[in-house]
This record gives sequence, structure tokens and C-alpha cells, in this order.
Amino acid sequence: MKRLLILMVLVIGTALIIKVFAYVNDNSDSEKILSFYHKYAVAYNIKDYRQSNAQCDSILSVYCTSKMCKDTKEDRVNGVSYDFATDNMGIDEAALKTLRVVQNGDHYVVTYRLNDINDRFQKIVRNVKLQVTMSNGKIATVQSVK
Amino acid sequence: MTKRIKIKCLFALCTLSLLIASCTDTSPFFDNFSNKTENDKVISCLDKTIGYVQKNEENILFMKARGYKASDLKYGLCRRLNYQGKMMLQIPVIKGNLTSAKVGDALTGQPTRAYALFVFDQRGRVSVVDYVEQLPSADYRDRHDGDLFYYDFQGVQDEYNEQGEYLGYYDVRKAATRIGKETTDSFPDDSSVIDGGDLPGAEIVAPYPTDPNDPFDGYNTELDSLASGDQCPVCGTDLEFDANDGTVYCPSCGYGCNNSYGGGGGGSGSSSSAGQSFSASKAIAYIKSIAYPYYMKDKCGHCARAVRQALERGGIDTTGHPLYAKDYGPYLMAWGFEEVSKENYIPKEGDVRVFQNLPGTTAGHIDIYGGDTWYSDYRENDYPGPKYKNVEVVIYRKTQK
Repeated sequence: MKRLLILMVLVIGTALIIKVFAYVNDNSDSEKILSFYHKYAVAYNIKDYRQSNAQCDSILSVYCTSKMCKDTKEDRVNGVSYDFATDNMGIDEAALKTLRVVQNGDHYVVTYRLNDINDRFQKIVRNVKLQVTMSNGKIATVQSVK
Repeated sequence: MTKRIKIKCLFALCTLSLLIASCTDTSPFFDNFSNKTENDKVISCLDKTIGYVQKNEENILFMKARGYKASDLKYGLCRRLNYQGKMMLQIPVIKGNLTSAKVGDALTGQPTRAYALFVFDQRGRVSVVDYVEQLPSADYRDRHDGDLFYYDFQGVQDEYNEQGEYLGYYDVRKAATRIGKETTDSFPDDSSVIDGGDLPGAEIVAPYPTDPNDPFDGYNTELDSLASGDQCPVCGTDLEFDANDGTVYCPSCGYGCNNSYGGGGGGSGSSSSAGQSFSASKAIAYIKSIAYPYYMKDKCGHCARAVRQALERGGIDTTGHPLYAKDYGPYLMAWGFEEVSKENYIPKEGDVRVFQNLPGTTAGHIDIYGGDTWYSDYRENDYPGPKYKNVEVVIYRKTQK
């Protein structure tokens, strides 16, 4: 009976430790994402295009997978300068006031309100919702949710 | 004693299995080919293809560029086709494993909608390696949730050879219609080679731009029998009549849009073409049929070509067009377009936007308004990207004379 009790305590203890580790890990991922978008928004809106790119690259290399960094750099030369970190939605410093990160299963949902213009050249506020997945502690994919 | 019996039994078993193996014909047999010579020829060519791919896996351009492995070519599902009197094997390229292999059934694995094409010379050696990737319709991913259906492709895909030279286009809608009609011609349950018969010329490597003297312009033949209000043979939408050139076309998938060639003013150069008529609906139907549903880094980046082809489908003779998207402004003016003011601007179908280049780049960007959003070689949102909101943009609209 005593042995069984010890065994149960051990099992529950291990499960608890795993849960705590997972929570800490998830929390740190959320904070990483939040920190990334804070820094990225500032860098992305630097007026000088080249300087902005350099700053963005440096932030991307810290927070995102090498693939995302590579894709972003390559697309500036060969594509439409697609912004993979926001799935081409863009981000500005004003958006940081409304920036939220929520975990949803195996991914994170990032939301913010963006001061934007539409194709009629009218100022609008866009509600941006991004689905972010992490891989080894780095942002791996970002997909906008309509 | 027991040990001896065991050894004897083992020996007997080995002998028996050897005997069975020698009696069984282990060579593959494709029951679609009753002719043994033809069957052997297909097997031989298939063997050579497998050998060729395994040996050149690192060097075949399309495989290298898209990260395909030799195992992604599903040899068991290949079609044997006749291409200009030569044998051609059309092998689906699907990443991952297949669980189903019947026409109309969903195939699991990453849906690439691609085929590797191998043409053989008279001596049965691989003489041409080609690759065709088929475009899904705009809402394909939503409708099928990642599944792949054989008959559900549409679009016109530009085709290049291994050296990257432009060969022409592959009209997937035509192929899709044909495959759809051949529902009885299903893949056998054991996934073996089927005889696809002759490959009509219109289906592959049609000359581009369309040559009116091209005897393989079979696409028109089918359209001739269709009238306004008939159902589109590809998507089922009601066909519409285009008063500009007296043809019918599908406003939904763009079927019939390539008929617009040769229409218009017939001018030979850009300067003389201002008076030609422009069918925005045809141009839009076409660009919607070729645009990727979202931006794909490895496939997009040819906005100028996509928009130019759409303009051509709409009846504009773009002879002498510029190379870069940012330079299209003066040419559009010469083709009868006029600049539209950005004040109180409301997008209209067929409007063309020309963006200047971002610093450090040369090309700029061009797109066309499709009624719902803007299109280039992919379906955009309001803009090609956030950075393009800060560059100079001019909007052009065709004025009908």
C-alpha cells in the first residue's frame, strides 16, 4: 500500500513538473512574440527604406527561423517585398497599443488594430489577426486570418 | 533428433518458397495493355525513367528548385501518352504517400498538382524532361481542404523546359475536361500504368501567343458549338456572349478567353493600337484563372507578364511592351488607357495600377482590378504589400472609343 502511494505521488509529481515547464515555456513564447512585434513595428516604420530593412533583418534573425529571415531577404530582391512576419499586413507603432498575443492550442493568435489605407486611398482602421506558430523557440510561420 | 527434424523442415520450407518464386511471374504487368510488345515498351521506358530520375535527382531543375525527391514521382500512377509520335510518360508529382489512386478520389500527401513529363526517342531513351504545374482555382483550397482531385484543375500554365526557355502554355482546363469525361478510364485498383491514348496538340505546348494558323487550336472547335447561356464545360457557369468579337466565354473561370487574340484594332505596334477595343471582363476572367490564390514566393514575381497576358486576352495588342512593371504607364496610354485621379477614386473592373520600384529594386509592380480585389500573378488584397503604400502609383483606365 505504501509502495503504491509513493508511486502515485511520483507520477503526479512528474506530471505537475511537466505541466509547469510547459506553462513556463508557453509563457516565454508568448512574451517572445510580443517582444518581437514591439521591436519589429518600430523597425518596420523607419522612413529610410534601407535602414528599416537592416533593422528588421536583425530583429528577424533573433526571433524568427532562418527560413523566414531568408524568405524575407530574398523576396525584397526577387518578389514584391512580401512581409512574411505579418503575412503582408504590415504593422505600425500605433498598433502596439492594441497588440495582444493569446495562445490557442499549438499556435498563437496575434491581434492588433492597424491604421491603414485602402485601395480607394481612404484612411481605415484594419483589425489584423495573425496565426503564429513557433518552432524551437522561434517564430516559424505567420498567417493572417480573415 | 528434434534438431535434425527442425533443420529438415527449414530446408523444405526454403526449397518450397524458391519453387513458388520461380513459378511466379514477378515482372510487372499492366493489364491495360493487351499487346505484350507495348506493355514491355512501357515497362522498359518506366524503368529507364526511374533510373534517370534516381541518377539525376540533384540535376533535374524542377526537382532541385522545388525540393522534390525521386520518391515524390508516383510512377505507379503514370499515364502513357503519345506526343508528336513519340512515347511520353506523364508522372504525377506528389509529396508524401498516396492512399487512393482512382480518378475523382482524393489523394493524400501534399497536393502539388504537378506532372513530370518524360518523352522518349525512337531508341527508348529519355529525350525530353518537362514539368507542368497546374493551377488551382481561387477557392480550391477552401473547397477541398488540401485534397487533390484530378478533374478539378483549371487555368493556363506557362511552360518552360529544363533550360528555363519558354515553350508555350499548357491549357489545364482542356486536359481537365478530357479527364473528367474519361471517368470510366479510371486507374486500376492496383495503381498501374494506363494508356491515355493520343495527346491532342492543344493540350500541351501550344504556341504562344496563339497562332491563328495553328492547326492544333482545337480549343476553338469546342467553343464553336457553344452559345451564350450554355453551361461552361469546365465549371458549369453560364457562358456569356462577347459582342466585341462574337465569341462566348466563361465569366467565372475564363474558359474561351484565349479566343480574343486577333481581335481589336489589328495594329502592329503600340503606338497604333489606341483605338482597339478592350474587354475588361475577358482580361479579368483570364487573370483570375492564372493568379495564385495567395502570394507564393517561389512562383510569383511575374506581375508584368501576368497583367500583360490579361490585357492581351482582353484584346490589347501589347507588341513592344516594356520589360519592367514600373515602365508600363506610357505604354498603357499608347494603348488607349487614361490616367485616373486618386481623388474620390472608386476601382473599376479593368483598372490597371502601375507602382514605381521600391528603393534597391528595379521592377516596380503592376496589377489589375478584378471587381473584388486586385490581381497580378496572385490574388492581392488592397495592395501588393505594405511598403507599396508609400511608393508612387498611377492608375489607368481604358476609355472605350
